[in-house]
Amino acid sequence: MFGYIAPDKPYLYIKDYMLYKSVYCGLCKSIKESYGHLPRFSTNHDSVFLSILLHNYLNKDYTIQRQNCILHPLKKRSVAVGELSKKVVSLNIMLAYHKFTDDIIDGEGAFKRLLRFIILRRAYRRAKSFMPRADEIIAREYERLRQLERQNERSIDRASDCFASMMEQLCRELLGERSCEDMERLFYNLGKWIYLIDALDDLDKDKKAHRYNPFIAAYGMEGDAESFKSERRDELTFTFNCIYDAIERSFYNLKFNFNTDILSNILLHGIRSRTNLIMENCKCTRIRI
Amino acid sequence: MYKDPYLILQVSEGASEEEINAAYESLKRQYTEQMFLPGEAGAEAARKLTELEEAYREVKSTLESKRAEADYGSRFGVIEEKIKQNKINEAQQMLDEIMDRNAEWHYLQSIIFYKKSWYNESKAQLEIAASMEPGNPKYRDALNRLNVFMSGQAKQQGYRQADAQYGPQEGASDTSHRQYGRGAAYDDRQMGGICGAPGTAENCCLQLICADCCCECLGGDLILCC
Repeated sequence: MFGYIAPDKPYLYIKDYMLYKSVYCGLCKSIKESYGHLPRFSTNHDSVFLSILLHNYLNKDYTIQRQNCILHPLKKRSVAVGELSKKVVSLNIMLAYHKFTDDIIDGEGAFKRLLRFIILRRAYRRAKSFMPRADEIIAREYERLRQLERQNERSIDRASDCFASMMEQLCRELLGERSCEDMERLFYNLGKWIYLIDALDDLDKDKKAHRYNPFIAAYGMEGDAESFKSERRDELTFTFNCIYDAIERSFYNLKFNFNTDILSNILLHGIRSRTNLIMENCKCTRIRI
Repeated sequence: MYKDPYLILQVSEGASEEEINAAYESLKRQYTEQMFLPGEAGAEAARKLTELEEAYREVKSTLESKRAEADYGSRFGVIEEKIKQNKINEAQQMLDEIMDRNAEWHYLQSIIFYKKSWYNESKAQLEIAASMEPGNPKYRDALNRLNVFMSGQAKQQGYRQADAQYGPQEGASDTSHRQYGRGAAYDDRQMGGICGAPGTAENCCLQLICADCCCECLGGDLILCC
């Protein structure tokens, strides 16, 4: 995943902010336990969200511990330890690995190639043996996506379907029999949003490198990203509003076991504000929590 | 001169296929016999026989097209039923098999796309349906609803409603508020957020004392008693 799903910080309660940070730390620690120090950089906001969502939905609570942190050696930090952390980080490592593979096939920098081979290869192998079916799903959908990209697929929905249905299938894989229609729709639309927001963010880069981008393929792009976004504002708004709507509807239909403050912050505010930042061409799109 | 084929066949317009067939057979037999009568009567019967054949052909073809239409309509009905039961793949397959694609076809395709979360495709199909039958309010209304709903105005409202869930305002009776209350009751479950993390208190004291020391070094005092 790409790290786009994040809370809207101004609207976050302090208690949730603390919990969010501890879950982040917890995932990082969990990577250390299962995969060693090196792949720890792959912790990202998407996996924090996924962890909170799954723990809440499956009625598994976190326990908070005070532990030391490599990056902040002077102070102990709160770390949220949860049962499902290993699944989440394994999934995240596989997603990161496949994303790098895809980047390499697309012809992106040598630095990433080195990073992937040295750091992620061993962790990826272990993650793959831990969740073989998830890896199959990811590999299959990335392959389908590459095929569509080669054909320069002009339909936004068709192009984003690969990533979206990958998330849907992963939801089924993660939740097993607890999976339900609303959860699958939530995952589908989140996947679609991640794919499209990444594409929207990379408009200029993709054009320069003559890489496939679903928006350019669908509408064509003459000038730069800024003018494209203002010219196609209506279409883009429609596309994203539909996604918000589906996410909102499925979220309200789901039954959770704990309070949903963080989840509703992320799903109802975080995603919108992130889209708006990118629509308004804000340069400061890096998230810091 | 055009003559009503049903009149020639001597049946009513709503007659079934069997009735028409029976009427045709009996009239044909009658005219064939009369054809061999001498003089004007024979010629008249021959003329009537040709007329009969023509009328029969016409009625038959009308019947056939009617049946096809009913078949077609019911196929759409079946597809609609499948969509309602959420059997999207089956519905898509059935829809793909229909070659003659009218407005209703595009309308159903639009619904399927909507169910699959393919919103742009859904809108495109709905636009085709509305342009094929501009007079049909069903397609026009659906398209309008989709456009208005997704244009941002309605969404802005929804956004504000979502806002209202934050903050414990009066009258906010939805579940997330109730759950917030539960979190605020300091239960020991962590999903309510971290209210007091273990070890925070002594940490805080330590830091205060540390800060006091620093202050004293510089001539000030943070904690007056020590």
